[in-house]
Amino acid sequence: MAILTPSPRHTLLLRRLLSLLPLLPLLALTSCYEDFDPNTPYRPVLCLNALITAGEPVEVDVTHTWFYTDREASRNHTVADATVTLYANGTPRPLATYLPAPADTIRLHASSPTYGEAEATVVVPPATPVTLLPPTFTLISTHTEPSLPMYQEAHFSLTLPLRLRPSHSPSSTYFHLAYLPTSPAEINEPTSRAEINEPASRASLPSPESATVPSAKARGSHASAPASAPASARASHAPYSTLTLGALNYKAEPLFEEHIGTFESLTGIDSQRFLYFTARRFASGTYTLRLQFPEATYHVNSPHYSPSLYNAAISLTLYTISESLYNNAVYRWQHNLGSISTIADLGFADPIAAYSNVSTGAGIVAARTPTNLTLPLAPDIAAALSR
Amino acid sequence: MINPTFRRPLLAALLAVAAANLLAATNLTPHTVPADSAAASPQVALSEVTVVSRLEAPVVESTQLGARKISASQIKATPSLMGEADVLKALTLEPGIAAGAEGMAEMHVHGGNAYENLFLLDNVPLYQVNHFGGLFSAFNLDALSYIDFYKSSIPAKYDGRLSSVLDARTRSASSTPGHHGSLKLGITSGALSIAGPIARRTSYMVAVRRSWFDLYTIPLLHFTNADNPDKTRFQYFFTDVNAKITHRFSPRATAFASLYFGDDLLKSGETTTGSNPALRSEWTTTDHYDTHWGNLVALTGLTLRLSPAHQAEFTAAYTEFFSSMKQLYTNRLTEDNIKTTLTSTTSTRNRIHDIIAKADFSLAHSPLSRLRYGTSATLHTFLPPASTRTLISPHANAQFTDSTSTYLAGELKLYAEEEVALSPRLSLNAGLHASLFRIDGRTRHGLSPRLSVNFRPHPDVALKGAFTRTVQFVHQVSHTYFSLPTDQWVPVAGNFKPQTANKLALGAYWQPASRSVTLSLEGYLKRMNNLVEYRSEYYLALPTDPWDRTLCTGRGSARGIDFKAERTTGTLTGHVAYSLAWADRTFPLKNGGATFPARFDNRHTINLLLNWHITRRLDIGAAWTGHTGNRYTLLTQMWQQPSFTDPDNDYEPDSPLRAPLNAYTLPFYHRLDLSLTLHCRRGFWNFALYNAYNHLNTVAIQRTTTFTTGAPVFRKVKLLPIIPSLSYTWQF
Repeated sequence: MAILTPSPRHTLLLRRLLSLLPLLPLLALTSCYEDFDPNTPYRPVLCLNALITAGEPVEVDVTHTWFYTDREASRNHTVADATVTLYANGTPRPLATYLPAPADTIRLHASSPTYGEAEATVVVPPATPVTLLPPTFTLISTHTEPSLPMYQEAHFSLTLPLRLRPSHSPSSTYFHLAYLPTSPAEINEPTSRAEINEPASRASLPSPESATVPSAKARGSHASAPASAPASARASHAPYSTLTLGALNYKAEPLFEEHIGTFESLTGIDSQRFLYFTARRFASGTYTLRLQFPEATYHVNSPHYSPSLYNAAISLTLYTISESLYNNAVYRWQHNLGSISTIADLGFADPIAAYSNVSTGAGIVAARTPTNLTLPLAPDIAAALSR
Repeated sequence: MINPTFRRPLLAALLAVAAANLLAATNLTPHTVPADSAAASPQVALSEVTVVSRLEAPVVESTQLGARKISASQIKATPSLMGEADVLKALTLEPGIAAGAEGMAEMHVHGGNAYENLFLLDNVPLYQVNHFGGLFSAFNLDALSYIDFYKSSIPAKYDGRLSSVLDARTRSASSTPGHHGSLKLGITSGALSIAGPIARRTSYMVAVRRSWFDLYTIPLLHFTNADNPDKTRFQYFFTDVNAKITHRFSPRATAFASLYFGDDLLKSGETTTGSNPALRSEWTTTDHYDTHWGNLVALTGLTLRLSPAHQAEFTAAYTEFFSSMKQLYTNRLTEDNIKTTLTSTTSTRNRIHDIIAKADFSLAHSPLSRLRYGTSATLHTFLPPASTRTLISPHANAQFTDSTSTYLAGELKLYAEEEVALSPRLSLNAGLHASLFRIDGRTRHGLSPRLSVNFRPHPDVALKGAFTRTVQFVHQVSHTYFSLPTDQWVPVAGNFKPQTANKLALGAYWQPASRSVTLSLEGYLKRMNNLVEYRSEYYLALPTDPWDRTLCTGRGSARGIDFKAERTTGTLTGHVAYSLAWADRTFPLKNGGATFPARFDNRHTINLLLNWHITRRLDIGAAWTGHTGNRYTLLTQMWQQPSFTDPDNDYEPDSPLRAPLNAYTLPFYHRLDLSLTLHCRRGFWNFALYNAYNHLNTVAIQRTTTFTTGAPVFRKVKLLPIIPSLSYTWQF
């Protein structure tokens, strides 16, 4: 075997080369962008949007599509000459007075002399019976402030088991869960609920994350009202009590991550704020869903004691939703958090159009039926803070 | 070819014959025998003997169309990205082969998909042929002797993929005494290969390659992490190991055992820390990802000469593709002197492995005819991604496991083909490949007839025609244009049928007796059925849903003409290739059922490859490629949706309207790669420029806004500028 000894000249060259090596891979990572007008022909079409809730009047948005770079059209895409007809179970019904019921098949048809026609059909899903099983309330710590007449703080974890018993086929049953903490201060101040939870949109759903304030902000000893307190209470130091649920532990319930694929898991994408799920894992027709709040907090700050200070509760709404609403949610999740859009933007995957169940490919017509529950927490909280 | 500097014609002739035999035995290509080798007489002053052996049979004599036998050294002479010579990228300079996404080692042969190419390593399937998402292929050229590649007519021995066959053969130790090898140091990787005798009849070959991107990232991260409380973690490298032992029992029997192990490892993540003195809290969050994927091929074989005219090769093999990913999330929180720890682990495994037994025979029952026949049995095991999620916190301790079911499939193959010269001008190859594939209690079958004819109206001219049917039982669909470790091989199951392709090819060839120049013109027409692709809205299905919920089937067609002019001798060699091609797809569940162009439906493709052997010490290579831009689905219209899912917004931010698939053609793609090789006493330096004139090619179009006014705008995304590379290879 030959002896492996480089010549001094080679060694010198290699040393020079190695000193430059760290710079070279950076070149490969650079890319370049160029704005341009693709100048492709297009034809705007009608767009239909409606979120139909059982028992509530139907509202329909009719707009039209626009070319992406057309700024004028993107600002104003209303359709003035459209007519909308609603068919319930095949029969035309007046849009203004019709109240949808579970199991109704609703077809919306829109027509415009300028933009043509569009239609979509959706079935209002039946409500899903939900049984609230005994929750697990685990007190972690309490805190009082001696300098204040009545300042109490309880840190606890809470696990809520909900037994779902859908009446439809598991393969075609979809859900959306919403929850909302309520406390006496909020009950007494109706605007605070909207202030914290509900955006102005009539179509929006309550958001669990926006219903809570990060628990870290709500902790510690504070003479003044914590950030989680209603604004009016913070301003005036008025009596208040606040329930903060903290972040939901999405990983504790497999259904909340059932839509996350391997690649998303790999890239660290999680299920934050996504509470849509299916019944496909319901093996025996029922399923016990677990909501786990590991870092919930209850604050009381009052000049005097009142039993009503502990009247906290959690409002839960389980919507049984149409497939179109579930698909729309999954598309939005993929678009905002998933990997597909990112890879497509880099040119290594096909771009993905927005999900639509409207004949023109523009718009969503969805339906949902709520099941409402309330979990009172007053006994547990009162017991915890009286220790 | 004998160097004219020989002083003794007789000795020169003897040496030439000896060297030619040596080359024929070892499948070596143009080779240089040093004057001080043992074969030379000490009494004769010789400079060197240069013997040129042709690996390929004359193209006008064979019945195959679109077949190539290319040596590893030829591939190494092709300029390449980062100086990493690559089998797949070199083949994309052949006509009729689209290169796929920019920079990736992919092949789309005659309008086919990337997963429709059968990659074999010593006649054993290799399921993952890429490293680093496709930037490098898994074939280490230091370990290879040559490749056989078929794109138009495929011998009956091969089936199982629709579009092409690439059979790479690992090299054995040469008959030259001693241990010989090479050590290569490049910018992105290093490679060591060594081969030699173990005993009188036994030889070995070992080749190892390792990338060293981590040599750059580790110091860089060390520097950036030094003054930062948050620590970033990133490390990537791949490793290839090829090993082969050959033992010659007798001139009639040779046994061999070989191993290939390719492994990619990616570690990423970060550790963040923080504190809030007001709340008396501090926390440390660790989020680490470890990804690991690769191939393992182990095989042993025996070649036997049963009689002077009858040869046999028996092979037993195990091949596996594996990938695993693990995410470890740990959050340590201290609040009011209370410590809590939350640990979450997510791990996923995905693999396919085959156990294979093969027997191949070749019988030359007359000087004018040869019969090849054989059989193989394969037991496939598919393990789709199986995830385990574990959560450990003060208030929870849970573990969830997805499906861990494996799918077993059995495959049995039988083939026979007869190659016969019917007359001095007419030869024919007719064969049949039959296969059975059993999964889920159902058996599917495939019959693949093959026929190719060669008619020679003139000794230098051949007119050929071929019909080839191929059947494919497993497929690997991906929603990206590059290779991911999460891409899985899926068998034909449920209501899916085996994919099939019927191809008709015609060709005309001119090659003079000197074989210095070859002109070829080939036309083809291909129909593909039961093709499998992702549905347009595949992302709506749950990861645990059955495979068929995300996939749909359809058909495709491709047609085109490939022209090539090639010069193989002299100081200036290379080829000019031109392709005119059409490729489309029709899927009932995609594009409204309307036919649409394939993604890599490149109408015109021109490839130019030149290798200029300027002096004994200096070689220059150039490769220019230009083709009609890839097809792209450009979403030009938008619609507005009130926010149903996001309470923080009145309207959803971005709702593009669906558009006809692949209707937009990206700008013309062109690129020049250059290489310069400087030979020195113990090796050679290679300097290469990828994209020498720095033309950035468009790979995608984004919908975005302008940096200045915020106006919506379409933006071309362009990749890969000029990339220089340098390597040194030390031969010993």
